[in-house]
Amino acid sequence: MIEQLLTGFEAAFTLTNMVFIAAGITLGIIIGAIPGLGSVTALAVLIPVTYYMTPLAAIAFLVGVNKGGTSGGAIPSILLNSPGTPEAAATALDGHPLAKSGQSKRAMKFALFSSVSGDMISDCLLIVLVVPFAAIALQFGPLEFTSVLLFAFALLAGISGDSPIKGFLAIFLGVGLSTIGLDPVDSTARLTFDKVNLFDGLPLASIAIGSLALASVVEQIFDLWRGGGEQQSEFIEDQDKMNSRLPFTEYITYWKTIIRSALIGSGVGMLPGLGVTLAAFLSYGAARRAGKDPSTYGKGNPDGIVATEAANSAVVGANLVPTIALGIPGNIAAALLISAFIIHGIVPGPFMMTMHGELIYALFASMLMANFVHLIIGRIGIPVWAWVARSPKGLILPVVFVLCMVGVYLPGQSMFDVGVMLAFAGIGLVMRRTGVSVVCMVIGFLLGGMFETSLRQSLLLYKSDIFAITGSPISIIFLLLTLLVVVRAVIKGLRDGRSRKTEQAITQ
Amino acid sequence: MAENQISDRIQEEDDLIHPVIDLAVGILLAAGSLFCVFWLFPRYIVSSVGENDVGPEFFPNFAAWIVFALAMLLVLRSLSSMRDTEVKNRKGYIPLEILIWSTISILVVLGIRYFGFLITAPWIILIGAIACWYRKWWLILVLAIIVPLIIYQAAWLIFGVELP
Repeated sequence: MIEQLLTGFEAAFTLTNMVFIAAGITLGIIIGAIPGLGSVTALAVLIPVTYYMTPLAAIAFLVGVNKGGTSGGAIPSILLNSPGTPEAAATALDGHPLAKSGQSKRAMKFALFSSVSGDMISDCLLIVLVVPFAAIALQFGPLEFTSVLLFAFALLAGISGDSPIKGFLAIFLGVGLSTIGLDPVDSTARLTFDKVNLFDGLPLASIAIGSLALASVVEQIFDLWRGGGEQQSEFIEDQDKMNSRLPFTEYITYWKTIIRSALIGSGVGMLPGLGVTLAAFLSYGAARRAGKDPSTYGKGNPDGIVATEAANSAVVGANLVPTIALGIPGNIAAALLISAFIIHGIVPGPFMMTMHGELIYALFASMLMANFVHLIIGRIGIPVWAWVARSPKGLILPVVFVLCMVGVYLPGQSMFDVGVMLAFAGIGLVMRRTGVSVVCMVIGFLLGGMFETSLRQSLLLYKSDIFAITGSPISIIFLLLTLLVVVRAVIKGLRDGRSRKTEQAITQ
Repeated sequence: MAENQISDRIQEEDDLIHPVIDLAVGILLAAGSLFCVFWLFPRYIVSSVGENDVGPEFFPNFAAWIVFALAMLLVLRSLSSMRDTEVKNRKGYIPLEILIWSTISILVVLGIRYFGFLITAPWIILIGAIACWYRKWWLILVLAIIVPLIIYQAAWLIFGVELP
């Protein structure tokens, strides 16, 4: 393997290849930063551009776009609290408060460094695990997916702040919304009101961008309107150089979070269908639980940024594990990469390593080199983005509004999608004002469909036999973890309630 | 400094949710979920029963009942904490904001549909900047004209999509 990798480096380390990698990462960051677009749109649009490239340059370019697009979403998330992509919503939880406290450059550096770290770790895991992975991936069936998703719901309620009731409310509102459309098993219409647009359900991009990005923009505009305008830049300037520095020695103190998050992201990325967003939020929840002071999360704790960015970037490399080993794409981005593979005469699947081994190892080498290129390009871009953050909100927010509309319109060219986005911007605004977690609703929507499909598939496969779980050690492990998380949350809630009552009694 | 303190105080008050708001949210969600279970779902979900499967109506009803139960918990919690709270901010502006946003959304959709992106987007930027109390008129006008043009051209050149 080492010799093959060294040969791969030799093939990949050419000026042409490096230029294409750099171009891919730059385009990916720019497009990922625009709300509504993201790496999937970037990939879809840029695949035709690669027709005239060599297979290695083409795939390396597209992998660069994917890496850049995933991390680009963090920029508006941190600076404007308007996530460019759904997974970046997790980054906003701590990124934006940290930026508002006068550490916008530090926040972006945390995001960039942890994104590159997560990417690097998952790329190494990809190289090592791609062959043995096939055996494990084939063990995951509907029952296992159901238990993993239940575990995800339990963890997610924990990131909703101080009110698990509101967290679960938001999750199940999202699950309810996910049932709109055709039934996943027998394709009967549910709440479609005979509208063709609703047969595929509500569009995820419209809900995510509307309730996360646009709702934040609208909320800020209303706040400025009520408050009489921006009294001074609401971003305290990074005048003190200490506020913008992030020494490597400080960054490395977060090594536990980096490794844990990269492993979570890699694990999620290797399982087809789970998605980047889930990795980001699972990782955030895990970091918060493991943190010394969970109450600091959501208020500018750098650990929150590290957790989300390391995880969502780790998915990028890990997604290629089932893609290459089994020919099964891990998510939409990987599916687009498969189409690019096929265009260039490479058929993904178990024989890919045998038939195109040299090319695959050259690709692995390109991915490792792309991480360093990502670090350089991202680092150069930070002052540019910080300058944008200092611009008057009265100019930035309306432009972001327009970009959200365009970003949602572009993929499907449908005004229905724009209408849904505007409606969910209103819903998101109300949820933000009333303290109900928008993030939990979006994740509930994202996971609700998967949960229903996997549960019903399990019922059909095992003929509703509940004891089928005993035959699946993976399911048992995740169900026990779910129980543990729920019991811990209940005990914590009871303890907090008792200590509040004691404090009130003492005060009286 | 005083202005920062005012905006910090507004932020802190905004962050605290008065139990009346939780009560209103709980009641609305409880009523909404009952409406869905007893009227909406029976009318708009075709029921069918398969062997070893749950019907299409199962998950929507499951989600709605869970929302109802949680909403009632929220109502009970807010009733019990209403006496003791010192939070003053009841956020009475929420209904007004909903009304304003609904109007804006309808106007934006109609504007794009009947006048197109290049006419509607400049108005969004102009009105948005005014709402934020930004008053450098020349800069607002320049941005309102140039940004939609750039976006329109970029959409066509990069994505091959003609905006409405």
